[in-house]
Amino acid sequence: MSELRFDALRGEEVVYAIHRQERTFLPSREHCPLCPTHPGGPKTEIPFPAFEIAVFENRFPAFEAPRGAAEVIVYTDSHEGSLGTLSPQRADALMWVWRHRYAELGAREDVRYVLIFENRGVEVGVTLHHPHGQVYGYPFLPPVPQHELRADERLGGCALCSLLAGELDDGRRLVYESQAVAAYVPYAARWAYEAHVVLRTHRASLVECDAGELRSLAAALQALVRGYDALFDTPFPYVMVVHQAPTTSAAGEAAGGGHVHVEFYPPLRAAGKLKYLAGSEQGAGTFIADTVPEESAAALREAIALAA
Amino acid sequence: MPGNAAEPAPSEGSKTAARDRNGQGGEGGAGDERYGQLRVARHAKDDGRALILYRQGEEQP
Repeated sequence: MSELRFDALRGEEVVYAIHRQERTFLPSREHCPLCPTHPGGPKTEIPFPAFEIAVFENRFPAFEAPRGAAEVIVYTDSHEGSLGTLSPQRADALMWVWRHRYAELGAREDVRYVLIFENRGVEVGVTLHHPHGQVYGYPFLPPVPQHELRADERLGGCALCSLLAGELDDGRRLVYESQAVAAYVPYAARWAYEAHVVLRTHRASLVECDAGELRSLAAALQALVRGYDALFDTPFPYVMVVHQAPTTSAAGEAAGGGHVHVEFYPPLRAAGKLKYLAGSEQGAGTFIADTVPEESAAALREAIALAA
Repeated sequence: MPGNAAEPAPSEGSKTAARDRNGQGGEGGAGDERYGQLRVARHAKDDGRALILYRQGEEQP
């Protein structure tokens, strides 16, 4: 069981999950725990010879009931590939799985915030290469969604709706558009190729999205990931995070806020060059960027078109 | 929970989803839940952890 300690100086929780030191670390393909279990082969996390999408409780959880949840979402039973190379139908199904996990975990009294995310590449600490993501159900409201709620207050309404309108009006940082979704490198991007994929219509969570919106979101995410991979002609590392509304307040009521969008934080600032969080970023909380969002967006837009 | 206007209605099977304590049961079957375009089969692993298998199916009206 993890231990929570409140950092009184920074005003935020720190989670101690020391059992995670023992988690599986970059196993060989033959010992991948996310592959299906084949007859006569080693038993994996999924004891079936084939599957489409699998979700299971993390063996090395950062959170677990009755204080939160940690799950693994395996996108495919194929060891190779990525979110970008899934069939459109599978990517669409993945959006429904995200929606289902948000609904189920969000309904729990011990979960205040559902975070669906994917870490891709050893550059961001991936320990298993099989295409997968994760879900954390936090028993408290973490700092980032708190910032988003405060942005709503500051801007007098949904901050994402306001920012999206500004990006659509400006146009220079847009990298992808469809009827239901727009993607852009944000005006104040912290990472060189940071991108936000945003639903045009205000939806607090995936639960409010209809089938067409989920399909459009899947298509946008796949286009972006394929564009990333084309940018430097190499599998592009990133952290991908689905932002939605907090689920319940301490009193058990809807917390409000939220606008479904997916943020990508890629650590590469150029081909083969990583951005590190150093003195200013860690000590002052201020990012020093090496690139201009408008130029990054132009390069990414071109890469997405190339990969289409 | 936030608004759930588009929440698909669970099928009758959702309350009685088949659970396989050893995780070796077949996928699918009459006990599957439906969620939107998905069929949802719940299992439990040997150590008690939950395992959910999702399959694509026809969309609920």
